[in-house]
Amino acid sequence: MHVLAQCRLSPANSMNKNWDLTRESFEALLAWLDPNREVAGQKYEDIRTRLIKIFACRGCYEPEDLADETINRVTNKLEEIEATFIGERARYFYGVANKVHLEYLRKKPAPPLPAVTNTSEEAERRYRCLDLCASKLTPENRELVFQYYQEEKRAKIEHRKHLADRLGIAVNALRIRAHRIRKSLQDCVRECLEEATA
Amino acid sequence: METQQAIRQYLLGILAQEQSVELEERLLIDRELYEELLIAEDELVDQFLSGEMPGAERETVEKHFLRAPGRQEQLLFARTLKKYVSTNGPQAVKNPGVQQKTADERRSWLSRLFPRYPALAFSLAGALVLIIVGGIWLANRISNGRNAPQAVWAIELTPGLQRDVGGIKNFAIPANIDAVRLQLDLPESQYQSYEAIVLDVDGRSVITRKNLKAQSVNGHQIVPLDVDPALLTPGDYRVKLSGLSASGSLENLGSYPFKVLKK
Repeated sequence: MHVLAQCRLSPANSMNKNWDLTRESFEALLAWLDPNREVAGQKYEDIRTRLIKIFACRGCYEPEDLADETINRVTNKLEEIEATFIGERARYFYGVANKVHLEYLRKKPAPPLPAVTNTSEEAERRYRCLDLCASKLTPENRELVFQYYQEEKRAKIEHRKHLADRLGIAVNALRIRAHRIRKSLQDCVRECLEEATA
Repeated sequence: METQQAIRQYLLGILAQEQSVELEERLLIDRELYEELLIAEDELVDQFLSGEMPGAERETVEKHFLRAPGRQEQLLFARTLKKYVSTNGPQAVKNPGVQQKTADERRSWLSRLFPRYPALAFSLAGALVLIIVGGIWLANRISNGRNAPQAVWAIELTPGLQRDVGGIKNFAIPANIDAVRLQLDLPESQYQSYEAIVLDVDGRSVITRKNLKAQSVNGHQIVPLDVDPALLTPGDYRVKLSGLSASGSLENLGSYPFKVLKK
């Protein structure tokens, strides 16, 4: 199961370096999240991704590390809570995340992220990657992206209504569909850029 | 719609604390809500880029939203996508049609002028093209010899992150170049001309350029500002950009911070 490979068993930059998340404790965490290991793996990934997003939205410079720290602390507490905790597991993570965030705020602020550079060469490389990624889309999805993002301002709203009507779906369903294609393109471009710089 | 509004406020950092807590808790367990947040992020970035945002909200995006990790990357992707769609999308398909029509019209014009001698018409047209191309080449060469630098190194600057240390563009100026071209990113080009002043860390003017024109580069609008590299010694700078409105008044468009590093 790929979730094991993704899990940071020994977070190098963890706020708490006194202990590591071992394979056994990670297995225990999965078992606590759901009896079905596949479902548990998906829940783990969802929680981690969303914790990262929440920390990022709060303006934390190292959201991945804070999310991992949160997961580590929950895992460390499992023996105490698994017998008594009732309800949605994700809520417990949220409570711990708030404590981790408070500690983060009390500490000396981390150095800011390096600015994302965008020289004309990088912009060109990014464009070529997008071209490559767009060519991998199905013709329908490619057409949808072109149609969805083509107009601006008021014309855009009208255009999207027409497009949704044409596809026989609600505007919000179109919005979600366009976003998913865009996200797949963005992930593909990121991988393409990483390969180019590797 | 209320949820969408709350998410937007959350992303802008203006949602009340109590509602933020409630929203974040829901984000952890509600897949649809989380996806709605991702969509709202994309929409904010798109609106920021297209200049569709009111001034106050734009400032909030600059001060809060774009400071979060990963958002500058989203901004760059959105800009590339915008360019890609405008180059390859349906509107771009329309334009070649327009160009084709113009070419057809030109052919008709030539045919009307030389109805009996089409070969002569095309020879003349060819000669005319050669003269025009040659003239442009010659003019460029003369102009380049007089004014333009031989080696220009370009770097793009984004406005509005002057208070964010993480957002400041750092760069070392390469050796053996004749000019640094600061490409000042514009959300949209709406002024006849622009004025740019490069200020050093003490607010002293390093260089002032007037009558600058916006250009389209990689699908977005920029104002190019060429600066002699000798003027940019290592240190902090910012470019103050103003637009000359139709009424003749200068309107402040923002500040473009950058740091020149030692080579």
